[in-house]
Amino acid sequence: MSPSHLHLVAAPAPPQAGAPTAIASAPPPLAIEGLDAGYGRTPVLHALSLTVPAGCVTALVGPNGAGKSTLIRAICGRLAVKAGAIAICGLPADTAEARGKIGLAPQDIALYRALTIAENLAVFAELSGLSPSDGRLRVAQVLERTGTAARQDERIDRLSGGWQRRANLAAALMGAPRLLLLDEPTAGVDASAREALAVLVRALAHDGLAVLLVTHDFEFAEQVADRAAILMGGHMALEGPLADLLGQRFAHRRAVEITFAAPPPALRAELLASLGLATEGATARGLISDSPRAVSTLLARLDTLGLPPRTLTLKTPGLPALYDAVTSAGV
Amino acid sequence: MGAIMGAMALTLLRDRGALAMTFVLPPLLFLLFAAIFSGAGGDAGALKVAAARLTPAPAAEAFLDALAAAPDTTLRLVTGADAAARVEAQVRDGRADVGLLVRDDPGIVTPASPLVIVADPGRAVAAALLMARIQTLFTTVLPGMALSRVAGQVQVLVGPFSPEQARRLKEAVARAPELVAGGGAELMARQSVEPAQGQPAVTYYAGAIALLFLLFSAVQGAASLVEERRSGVFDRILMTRGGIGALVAGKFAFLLLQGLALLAVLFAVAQLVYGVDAAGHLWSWLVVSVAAAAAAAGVALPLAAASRTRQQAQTLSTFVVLLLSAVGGSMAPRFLMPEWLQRLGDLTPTAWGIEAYQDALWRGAPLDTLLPALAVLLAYGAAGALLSFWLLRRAARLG
Repeated sequence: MSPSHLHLVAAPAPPQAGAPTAIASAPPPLAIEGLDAGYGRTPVLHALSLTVPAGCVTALVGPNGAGKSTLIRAICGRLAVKAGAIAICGLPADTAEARGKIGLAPQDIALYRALTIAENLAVFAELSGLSPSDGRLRVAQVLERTGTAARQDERIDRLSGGWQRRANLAAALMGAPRLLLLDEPTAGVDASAREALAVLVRALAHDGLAVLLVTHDFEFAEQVADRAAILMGGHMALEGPLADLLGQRFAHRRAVEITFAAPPPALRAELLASLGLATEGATARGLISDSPRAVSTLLARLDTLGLPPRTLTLKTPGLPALYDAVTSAGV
Repeated sequence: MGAIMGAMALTLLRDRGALAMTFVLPPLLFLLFAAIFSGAGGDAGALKVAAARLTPAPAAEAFLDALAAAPDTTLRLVTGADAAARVEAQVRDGRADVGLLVRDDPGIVTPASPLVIVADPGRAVAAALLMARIQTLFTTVLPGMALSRVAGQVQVLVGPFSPEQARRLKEAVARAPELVAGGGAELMARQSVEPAQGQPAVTYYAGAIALLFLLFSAVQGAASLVEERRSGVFDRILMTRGGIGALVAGKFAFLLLQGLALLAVLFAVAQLVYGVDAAGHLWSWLVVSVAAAAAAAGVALPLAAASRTRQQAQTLSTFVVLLLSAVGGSMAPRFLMPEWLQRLGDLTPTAWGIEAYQDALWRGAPLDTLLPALAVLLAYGAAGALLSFWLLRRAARLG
């Protein structure tokens, strides 16, 4: 491979005859149809379908034990599929070719800790099958693209959590993947590093990479994701463009958060629940209509209950509200 | 392959503690073990004997004087009315290796044994050593006493000597040392098989100790595989084109080179300190060392691949290395073991490695003589690498 053929993100397959564009005709980086999978005789995933298109960040969220890690294993071709199919760029997931199109950034810092960022990238360049000269070029490109060039000669175990996360992500790009799997990329990262990671993930999606982001960090997910997928009990409870999902679920609704001087007594909490407000300590959250009179009506009801609010915040419902709505409904 | 090997090498080089444990500690322990095994310390075999003279016979005193002057024996004479009990007490509490009670004249026929060895069953070999040294004393230093005792026994069998015979016997006893010195050879003489090119005795043990540390360093190096699985590096490598094949090949190559480096350091120390001539048999040493390092990697990698945690790996590896080393002859020569254990030892790479080093360095055997051992060692390496590959594929649940 000559250096001119090296790209940070691998180009999609050439267009089929008669196809309108390459992107439109190329199989999606990840397409899962009717997947049943599990460990031995223990089923974990049932009739699960998910598509992760190129150029998009898809946030995969779900409670602990929902099957997120199992799904990642299945995508990586490391789990026997009992029914359905997983295709990576049109290739069966359990093939080496398909695995070669996936960049994996595991939850832990999956790097050689005594080696520098550049040395780690060089290791994974060689493992990806690049020649020494192409490997050096790819290392330089990835260092530049991920903003790690300035710290390239520092050992992983001497970097801060944020830089370690960046390096962890950088290593996932060494094989020029089409699909990037990010498993909890913000774990142990401070606010500024988190912001930098969000910019980087968006930039990578802009480059054409399909990103599947597995996270419990809703704020980060909301910041970077175009699409959302909510996994519950091995089923895909909800999946689609985030804006569409929010629009469908929360049309003419607003999220409200109320704080009280003290946690309401149990009886009052039940009355709040009848208004659609879930109480947690001295805070109640819920959804109300976005009509002009909704807030004044709510305030009047609270006054009647003898629960004057200290603060009341209104905002457009986002991924946390969607997640709460789906998981509390047990869809 | 080179990527993994390079990563492991850099990781080791940047960890001074691990580096010292790998390359400094083994040579130091080698020096200690070599001194223990070969008696190179100079005072090996000194036997502490507590003795009591329970008879006024002059021969008893002469015997104890001779024993006190014997080399490698430290005699502590216990006196007093309760001397016998105190000798026994010293043996029991470990102050003496063995005890000796001289209860009658050792130069005459007596109804009961004139010499009683007081032995601790836990150190039975000390009793055997003392008996052998007393036998030697009787034939070399006290031949008159031996002659007198034998003559007495002959009289018991054939009847008393005539006065003339008794006179001649008395003269012979008096001249016994002179007769022994000029009267022909001893019954036994020891002839040592000379090693190749005058190799020192420690050469015999160099291979045994090297194999022990080679296995320990290999399992230590292979344990990084457990850490890679825990941290997710393994998951990441699975997604690359190289995959498990590159991982196993890289680790195998690293362990082989690390083993070679360790063996080079160990044998360099052996050459410098004890004059073991490894450099004089460089090619033989090199091929045996490559095969031994490959076998060690072949043992260590599957152990790490089969372990889920570092704790598991350490426990399993320590057990296996000690087992292979004990049965294979790293800790005690195999000829001292029961027949069934010697046969079991034939299944270990340790036994074949030690044999190969003995052939190469001690016996100076040509390469073709080494071929069977080399084949077994390399087969261990290849089988271990394949088993590791299979175990890791299974762990990764790759189809």
